Amino acid sequence: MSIPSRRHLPLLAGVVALAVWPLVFSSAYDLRVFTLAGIYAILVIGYQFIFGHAGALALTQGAFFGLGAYITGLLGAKLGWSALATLPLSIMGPMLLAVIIAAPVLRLETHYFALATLGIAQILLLVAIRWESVTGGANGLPGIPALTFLDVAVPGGLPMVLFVWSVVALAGLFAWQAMRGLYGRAFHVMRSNELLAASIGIDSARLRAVAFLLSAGFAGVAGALYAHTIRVVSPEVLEFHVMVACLSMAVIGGRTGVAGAILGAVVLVHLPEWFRGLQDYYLIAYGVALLAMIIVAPEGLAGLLGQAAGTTPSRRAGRIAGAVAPATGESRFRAEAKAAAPLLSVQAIGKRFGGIQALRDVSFDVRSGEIVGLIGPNGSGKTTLINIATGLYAADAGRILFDGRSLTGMRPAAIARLGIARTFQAVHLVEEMLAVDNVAVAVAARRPLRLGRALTRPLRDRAMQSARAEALAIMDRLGIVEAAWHRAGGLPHGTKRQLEIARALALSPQLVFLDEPAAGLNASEQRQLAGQLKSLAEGGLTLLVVEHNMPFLMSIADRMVCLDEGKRIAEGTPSEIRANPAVLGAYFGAASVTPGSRQ
Amino acid sequence: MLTLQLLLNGLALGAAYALCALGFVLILNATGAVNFAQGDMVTAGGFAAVALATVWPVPGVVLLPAVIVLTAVLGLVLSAVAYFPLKSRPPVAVFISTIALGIIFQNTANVVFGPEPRAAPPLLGGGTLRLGEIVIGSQSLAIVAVAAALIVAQYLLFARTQLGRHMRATAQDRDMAEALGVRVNAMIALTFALATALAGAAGLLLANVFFVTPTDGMNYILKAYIAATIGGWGRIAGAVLGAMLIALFEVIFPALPLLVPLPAGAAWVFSQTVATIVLYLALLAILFWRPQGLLGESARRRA
Amino acid sequence: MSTVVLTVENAVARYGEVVALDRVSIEVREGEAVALLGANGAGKSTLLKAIIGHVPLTAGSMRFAGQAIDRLAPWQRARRGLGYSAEGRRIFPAMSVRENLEVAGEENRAERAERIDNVFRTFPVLRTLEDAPGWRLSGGQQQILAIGRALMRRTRLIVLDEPSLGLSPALVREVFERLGELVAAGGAVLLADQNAAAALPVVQRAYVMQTGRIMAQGGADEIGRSGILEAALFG
Repeated sequence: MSIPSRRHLPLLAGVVALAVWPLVFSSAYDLRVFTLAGIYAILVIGYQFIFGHAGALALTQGAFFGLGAYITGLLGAKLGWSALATLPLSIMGPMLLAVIIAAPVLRLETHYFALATLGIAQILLLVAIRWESVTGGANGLPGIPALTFLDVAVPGGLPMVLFVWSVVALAGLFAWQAMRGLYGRAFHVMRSNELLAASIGIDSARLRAVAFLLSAGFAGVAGALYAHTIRVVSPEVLEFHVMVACLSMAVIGGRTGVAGAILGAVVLVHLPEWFRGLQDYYLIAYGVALLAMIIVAPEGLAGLLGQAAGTTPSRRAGRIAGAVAPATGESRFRAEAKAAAPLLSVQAIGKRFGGIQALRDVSFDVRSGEIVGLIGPNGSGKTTLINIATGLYAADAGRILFDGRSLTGMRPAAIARLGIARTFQAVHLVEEMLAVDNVAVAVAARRPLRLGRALTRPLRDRAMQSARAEALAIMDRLGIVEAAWHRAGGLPHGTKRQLEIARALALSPQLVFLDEPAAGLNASEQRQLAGQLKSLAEGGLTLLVVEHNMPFLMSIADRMVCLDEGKRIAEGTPSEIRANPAVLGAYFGAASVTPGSRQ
Repeated sequence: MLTLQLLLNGLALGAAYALCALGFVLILNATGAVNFAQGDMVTAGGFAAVALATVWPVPGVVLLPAVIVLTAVLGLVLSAVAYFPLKSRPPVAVFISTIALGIIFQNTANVVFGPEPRAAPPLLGGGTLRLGEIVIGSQSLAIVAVAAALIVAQYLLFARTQLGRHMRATAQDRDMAEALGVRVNAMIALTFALATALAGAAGLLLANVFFVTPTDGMNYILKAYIAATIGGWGRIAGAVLGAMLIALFEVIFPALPLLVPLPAGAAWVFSQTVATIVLYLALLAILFWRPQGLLGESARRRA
Repeated sequence: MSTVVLTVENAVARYGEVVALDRVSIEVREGEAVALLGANGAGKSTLLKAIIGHVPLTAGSMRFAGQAIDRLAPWQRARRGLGYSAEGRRIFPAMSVRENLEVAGEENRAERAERIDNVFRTFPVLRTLEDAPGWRLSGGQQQILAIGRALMRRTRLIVLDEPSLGLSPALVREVFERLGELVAAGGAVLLADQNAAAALPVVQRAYVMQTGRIMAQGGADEIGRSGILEAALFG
């Protein structure tokens, strides 16, 4: 953040307000409230990893917090250990629990995931109540020492405020650094559309697991600091209302940005103070605020402030576009001239859905550098075939070879990384993200995404710059580079479709499946697209195109394969397909309607 | 004899859980969303009974229709505030909005009724029933009977009436139902009303024996949620059965030392808390081994 | 000439920015069966969804049974006598055949029973399956049920989306025979089907659609012989 831009205005305003606050309201009580706000901010910054970035409604954050507090409490009060030992253990404890439960729990669907995480939290609470000999039961553990490092104590009051808020700053810096670049954008893709994430090689399961661990670790820090601040740990720290508070702060402040977490924590911790006149009613106000925010401002307070500050990403366009390096990485779609062996070989594929035989015994080959059209009436199995080839479905029979290697059993992300890209029938873009970043994420996902790399990026993120440069080069080739610095959601339909093709190309694939690329394009856009696809194929790229628009498809395809009711009924050049009565029959019923045929 | 009374207590608790879980599943099927305030609607029914009894001290059975109407209206409010504005958002949004509504409700109850447990009047005068040698509390029997009657009524509504068919069609395929002349938004609102009324009735049934406090909702929603999960997501009968199993386990497990001879050292295991822990562990095991629930998910979900 | 039951005038519909219907005008008269033909993606299904109210028009107007219906909700249109059989049938899977019919019927119980009786007389196979749950029916049985369901009100027009899709040739023949009987009995039918060969024999007129527009219309024989379908597909 060398130059404070308007985008960071809310953050800056927040920092200034926070710095001034304790100087103005400096009674011991206020300082304690302010310390608590900082502790909650750490908790929420952590929670944003799993809830905000990964988009999973985890209800374990309160439990991780409580576990951290109990570890500090037990080791500090009972064994007299110093914070130098208890703090790391308070972080590792929740993370260990997260590791244990991650595998079985993270694969569950939303509602089961929420329930499972809630169940785990309840077990911890009950154990804390029940296991009196260790936890002190309902009365808890008193006598937790103040925060002490190597005999240097951090006394309550202003020093503790400063310490806690320094940790907030560190935590915020960590989260910001982790998520500001392509790693964070990969999370954005994953939470907005997991299918899409897989299709560009993003390993969602791994990202989610990392987010879960980070959430647990941050909660552990918050729990430990809480124990040192309150000096007593009781089962209250594990109760559901801690979780609800954390969730509310994330929803009210904002689900992803650090500023949102801090804002949410400060506002909600102070809410009872501001509404003290209302006595018990403030908790009702709390619920009303949560409800109102989720309905009116799903982006939270930070989102509202951001809007008020008028941050439109396109403002930054010129600045970064100017810094872009010339087109790099002509990538690996060169003609390999391996004409003999087919690049893609579909061999006797069969697939059933319940009572419907979606595909039966479908075989055909696609050679390197070819454009093959896949046609057939509705329900003939075209998209099913693509979904099998890209690993979304498993075939019941047969196999698909890519470059001589069987794709059976491979996961979508792995297939994408082999060099098979796809587009979707409906537009699948991350609407809130810049167009260029929709493509740049795919560039980045060619290498496995790692948290460590994200954390060690210098301020000038060269990986991001080179990914964007490559994305711009691809977009330039498709003639949509002017759209690069706009939000993808605001682009015209034709540009969106080309942006999807650009994203597919960003994987530097050998083979691209295009599912109805011409849908919704006007005549001139169609002509332009046809020209682009042909020139890509001339460059050595192989295309398998599903399309209903026959004039478009026939103008580009070298060969066509026609499916009907899951069977391959015709294969040949466009003119052969056109002359084949079986094709017309597949589309319009028995061949009797065609002028040429007689009975 | 003790066994019988325990069984009956378990059935009574299970019947009330079942009403709550039934409503939970009705909303789930109609909207695809979890109503996390469903447990608080049980509490609402309990407090409604407490409040009504202070102005009109009559047996619970007499108050039942009024409690049902009041909580049904609450359900309409719930749908208008926490569901319809978020209809086109992911289901998680409704999950959170109903959590928010739960907070509002709990704290309102806390302000109005205070945090101490309150008791509603018994369903019938109270007392015991003597069947030969066996003496059993009439309250438990009455709870089971009323809950059974309500479950049967819900079943008949859905199976035999045009209104019920419209509600089911809405849950099975909303757009198709609308194209066939069903007022789907009205049906969804009614489903909320029905679901919360069932929970409210459960609240009245429980509020005499088990009392009612503002924070009880958490327990009920958890039990309903678990019942719906082990009974097969979206299956009405499964949820009722699941609720019964949970309650019987909760009642019988802590009483095991009284029923079967056990080594003295093992007695501590058989507490209410441990029963709940075992329940959650069982839930996690079920989710681990059979993510589609014990009975499988409802046929409603299509590929 | 018989009265017009449905008029669509210059209908425009969009999915986002994609124009799905481009100034489409059609009409259907009482006692007439009309087919919408064209390859997939041509806009047939969108037009039917606009008529029943699931896709809003951005321009143009629609009149049904003498009234403007543009602003009516789908359920209001259904209650005015617009019967609908959706693509993929969309039988309520957890309801019996009888319940599937009942749910689409009038509020009045006696009238409903009478209509069910009528449907059973028209499609005797449904009577034999009366208590079978929807999910257990075969595709052909589901399609017959979907047609029966669309006849449960005082239906002025029945709209069918791809009634032949996914059915074996024998079942396609059977379904269209039933439809032919309905038309012969004087019902107005508007159907969209890719299977022109099966649809054309039972309709009097047809519209051919291509990329959201009506590219041709005419008598069924004319359309079948003209080669216009081939042109609609291959351009």
